[in-house]
Amino acid sequence: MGYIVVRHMATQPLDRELKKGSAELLILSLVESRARHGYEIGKLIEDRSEGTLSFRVASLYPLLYRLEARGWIQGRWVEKAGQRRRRFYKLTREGRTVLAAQRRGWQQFAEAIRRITGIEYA
Amino acid sequence: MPDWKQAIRERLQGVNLAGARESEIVDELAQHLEDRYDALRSAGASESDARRQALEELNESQLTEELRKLRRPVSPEPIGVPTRGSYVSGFVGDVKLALRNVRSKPAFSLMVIGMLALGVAGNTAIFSIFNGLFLRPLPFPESERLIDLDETAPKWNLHYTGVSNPDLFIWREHNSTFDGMAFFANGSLNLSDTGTAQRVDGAQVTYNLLNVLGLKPALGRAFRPEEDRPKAPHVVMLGYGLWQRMFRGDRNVLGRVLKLDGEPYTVIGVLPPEAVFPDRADIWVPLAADRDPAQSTGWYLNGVGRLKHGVSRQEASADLLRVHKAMIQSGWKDNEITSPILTPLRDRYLGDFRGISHILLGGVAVVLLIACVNIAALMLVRGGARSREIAIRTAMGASRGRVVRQLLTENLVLAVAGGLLGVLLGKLCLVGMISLMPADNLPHWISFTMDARFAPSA
Repeated sequence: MGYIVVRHMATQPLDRELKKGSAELLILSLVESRARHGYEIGKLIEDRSEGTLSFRVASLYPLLYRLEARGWIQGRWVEKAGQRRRRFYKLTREGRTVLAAQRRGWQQFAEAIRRITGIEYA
Repeated sequence: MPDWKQAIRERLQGVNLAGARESEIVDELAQHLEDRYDALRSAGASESDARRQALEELNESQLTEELRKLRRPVSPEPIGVPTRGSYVSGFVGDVKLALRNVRSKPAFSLMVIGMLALGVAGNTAIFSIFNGLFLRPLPFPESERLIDLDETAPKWNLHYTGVSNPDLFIWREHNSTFDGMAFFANGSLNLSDTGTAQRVDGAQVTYNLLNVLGLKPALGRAFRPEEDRPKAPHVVMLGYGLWQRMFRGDRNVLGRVLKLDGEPYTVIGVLPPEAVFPDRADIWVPLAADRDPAQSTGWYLNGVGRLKHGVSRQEASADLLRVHKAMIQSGWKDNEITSPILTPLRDRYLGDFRGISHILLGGVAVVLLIACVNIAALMLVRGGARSREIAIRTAMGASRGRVVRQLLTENLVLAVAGGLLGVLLGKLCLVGMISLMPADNLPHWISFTMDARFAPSA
């Protein structure tokens, strides 16, 4: 089960657990500053990664529901004038704590990989 | 505009979501497909192409699989081990990972295991002794009903004097609280058989001792009342150990005539292995006490009684005191000095060890507590040093529960290793402690082996 489609990679896809962990981190990061709906989240991931990462409906929404069930994000239907009714997701207090921990972990993980492989990140 | 909702509902068939929940999901996914359709149209795709591409995103079995999982409560998923499979395979994976972590920090692991082993070893050894002395039942049926019978004489400054012949008969015949009372006197005799002679420990017992203890002969029969009288024919019961050692378990030993202190005695039975009381008695002969007061030889008997069902020791004491005082009124002046004293059988023979056993038990409990506190401190220090590792695990998708489970498994591995080593060390300590015990002070029927009671203490 992959949560993200990784394009243009010369090697095999990253380990399943790694992908899963990074997918959660990406979503939590995107709803940190403000609430977003599912399509916007998927679009932002694809745009900001310049097409390297992309979500499909079949993987994005189940993950959103899972994060919601864990209490890390909260979804709410919003109907604005002149716009379609959409479900917006915002970060919860618990999600904020998880996000902070995941960020620290990824920094340390990336640093550890860098020390071993010599790969420099931008 | 395509009917997205209908297409989505078709694909969600079989997922069996709750009505309201399914409706929400259909609305949300339809919204997404509509956004996607609009984007594709804006990019120049034809209506049919845009519709087909948007719907393609739904055509993955992953969607229904994932939504099915969401019907179940969210559970923490393992890291570093397969996420699917039984709890057993997950646990095995946890244990493997735990063993790897334990091996990666040998100094820390050895320190924890060592401290735990020392604490457990002390408890194992001391608890085994306490268990043997005070918890394990005596080897007799309903042993809690067995009471030691004796007399006390404060005027003579004697806590225990022994029981006199007259008291034996009067107590036995006039009490109303015992199913049976038996008396005995320890001694040693010269036993000779076909020319060889040896000194053996024995006991003179009233005919009903085996019955009071709740035992049956291993071979032959018990003494009869008529054999327990002065000048009755001499008969003897062999202890099980003596029967095995001297006669190699020969069943034809019955009827054989042995010489005890030069007198011929006929073997009428063999005691069962459980007949370990009176202590160290290899042979039993009838006491054959004389009820004639003129023949009384003072206070020399030990007694044991089996209380009737539902009778307490206090009630039995009052009953015997009543009988004893009635004897004074009948002219037994000696009974003005003595009075009956009843003690639980175990306390009579082991009561002296109770105080020291409790002190030792408390001591080793404190040692174990100190070991646990030290281990907790070590764990805290190690936990701080592992924060980076835990952060990486969390980043890779491990939930908090999953990390806790892994840490608990590591602690379990350390605890099992420390516990097993502790039990082994404890057994060695126990052997050493038993060898240092004064053998004469402890009854032979006490054994210090481990049993089911040991588990909660360890």
